[in-house]
Amino acid sequence: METVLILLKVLLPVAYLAALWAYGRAFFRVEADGSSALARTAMVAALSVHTALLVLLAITFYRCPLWTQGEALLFLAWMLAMLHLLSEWSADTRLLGVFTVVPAALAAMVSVFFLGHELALQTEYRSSWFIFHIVSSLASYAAFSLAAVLASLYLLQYGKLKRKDFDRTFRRLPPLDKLDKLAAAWAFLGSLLMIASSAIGAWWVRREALHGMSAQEAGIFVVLAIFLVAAVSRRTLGWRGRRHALWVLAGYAALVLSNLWLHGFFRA
Amino acid sequence: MNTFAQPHIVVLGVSHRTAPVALRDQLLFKGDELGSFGDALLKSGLLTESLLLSTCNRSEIYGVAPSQTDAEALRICLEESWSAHRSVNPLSLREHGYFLFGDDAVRHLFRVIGSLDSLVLGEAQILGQVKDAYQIAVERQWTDFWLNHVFQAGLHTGKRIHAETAIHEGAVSISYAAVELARKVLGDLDGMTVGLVGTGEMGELALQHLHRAGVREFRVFNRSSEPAQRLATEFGGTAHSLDELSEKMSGCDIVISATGAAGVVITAAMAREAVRHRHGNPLFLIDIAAPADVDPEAGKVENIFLFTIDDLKSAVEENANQRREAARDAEVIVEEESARVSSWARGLDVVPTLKTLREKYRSVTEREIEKFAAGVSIEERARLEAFGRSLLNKFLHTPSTRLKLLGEQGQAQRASYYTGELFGLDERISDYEEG
Repeated sequence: METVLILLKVLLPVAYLAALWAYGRAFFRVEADGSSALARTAMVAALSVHTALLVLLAITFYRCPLWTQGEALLFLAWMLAMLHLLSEWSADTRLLGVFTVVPAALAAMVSVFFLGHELALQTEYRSSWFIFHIVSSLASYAAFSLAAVLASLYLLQYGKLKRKDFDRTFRRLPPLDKLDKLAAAWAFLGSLLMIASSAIGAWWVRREALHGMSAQEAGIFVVLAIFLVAAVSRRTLGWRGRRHALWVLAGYAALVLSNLWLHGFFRA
Repeated sequence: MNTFAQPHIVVLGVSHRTAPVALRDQLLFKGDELGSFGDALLKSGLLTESLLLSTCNRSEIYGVAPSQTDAEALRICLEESWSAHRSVNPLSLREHGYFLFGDDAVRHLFRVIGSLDSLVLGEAQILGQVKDAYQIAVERQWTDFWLNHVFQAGLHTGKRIHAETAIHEGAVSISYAAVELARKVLGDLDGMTVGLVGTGEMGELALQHLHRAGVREFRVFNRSSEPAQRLATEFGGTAHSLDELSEKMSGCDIVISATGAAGVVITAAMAREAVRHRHGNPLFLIDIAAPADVDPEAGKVENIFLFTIDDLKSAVEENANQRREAARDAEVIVEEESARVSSWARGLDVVPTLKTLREKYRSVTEREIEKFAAGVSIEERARLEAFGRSLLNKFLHTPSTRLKLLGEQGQAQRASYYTGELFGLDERISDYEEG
């Protein structure tokens, strides 16, 4: 079992790098048909390795693999990969894989180094409520990540159109309207998931009489507020396109910063 | 001059590269005349197979010349026949036409199918036009072994070029480039509203492209109502006076301005006001007028995308450069595929030897079976025959494949000679029996 675990940990970054390479080839080369099919195959292979690793961790530790930072990051990467494939299937965004798979690949590669080195979760937190809370929270992070990538691509394409820069990247990227709608859809889904996660978290804390919300955790509500402003202003004030993309990026920056703060990266 | 030892593919044609448009028009193969001319060519015995290809930019006769044909004589006969059919002076055809045969003809066909010889490099229609011409030839039974193989290989080459290179990517006309850019901003153009300011030729052309792209809502703004009404009726839109532009512009997703006005027609303030009413939806402005109709400041407003004629020209130039770059890859594919056809054709040179070899040993097998089958039952005889056929196929498999390979490598003559010597192919069966 230990050998298989090590093998999967080695295979995971390799599989994601291969998928990224295949998506890059599909985006930058002309022969899109064959290359993009290869990219999807590589991505499915990477996701299979990823799933196998999660399952093996669950079997090895006889628990949901979410109780350490490494495991949570691994699960986040898995959610990112899943959402990418969902987007590819539902909105035909395969050509964007070279951009949208990057967060999944990065999270997966980093998580491999953290696996097994952290302290286990404190006993009082080990609850099925915790699992619901974390899963919905990580799903919202994944949706926000996808929205942020699409918003960045919107701004890139917007800039190219304004500058009249008709290079290969411009030709390969989808229309602005599509990027805008997709970014908005993922940001909205992320907001819903984050609301669900917060509600579950609040219920759990109250029920188990755990400690209240910390200052760091309050940062998450700032993130939620930014994304909600983005969604509401889009609908009511017509802040679409570039403005919406900037709001999404601001929300995502807040999300990253609050998490770094929450996990003590700034304390050192 | 060349005399073909084997059947050869030939092509006689005129194209935009070699002939003026008037002559090309005269030499077009049209409707029923095409059928009668194709039939006449085969009846004359000049060609054993034929195919006629006619597009706006070329007319060509593809055919298979029988062995021992003198190439120059064939060219003259074909020119006379074509000239007579279309009542054209044969000297014009001689002066502006081209005649290619063998590998050159195959390579030419592949370049035509790959749109490397087209007026607009990479245009997509040619593949369909060649397919149609081939379909007609097949239906009329003008093609057989040679042309079927070569045209199928050609169509495969065309598909490869389309799939493996960027030769067809990007618009190469100003008006189509405008439509492509609009798609890059707005996505699907179905359900979009287009405003045309002025009724110039370029604007009308852009409307045609947009109509083809699925736009059905048009507003035509012009100083005088008559031309506006004409265009509006043609495209199923509405006509408006120029004074209504500032009020109605916000309802348009795309505005094309192509007036002959000396000053600015769409000011930055008008554009800003229009986009404000659009609730964040982008406004796509195309200014194809000279001097410009749209204030350049309008292009700086958020969610307004302004493209002038110079921008469109630069997009077209960029696309054309990309196609020229892709053409180099396409030429490599043409070379690969035409070399494959050449190799196949060379392999055919050993076919007579193969046939003789097979015929000789089939006769030997049959005679041996006859000897041993006397007095046996029908079932036993059938088993003996099957055994004989199986042995024959096994024994001849290796010599046949080696012989074909040597043929493909251009050594058909030598290989045929040694095969004849080794297997005694000049001997009669009776010699074998006597031996």
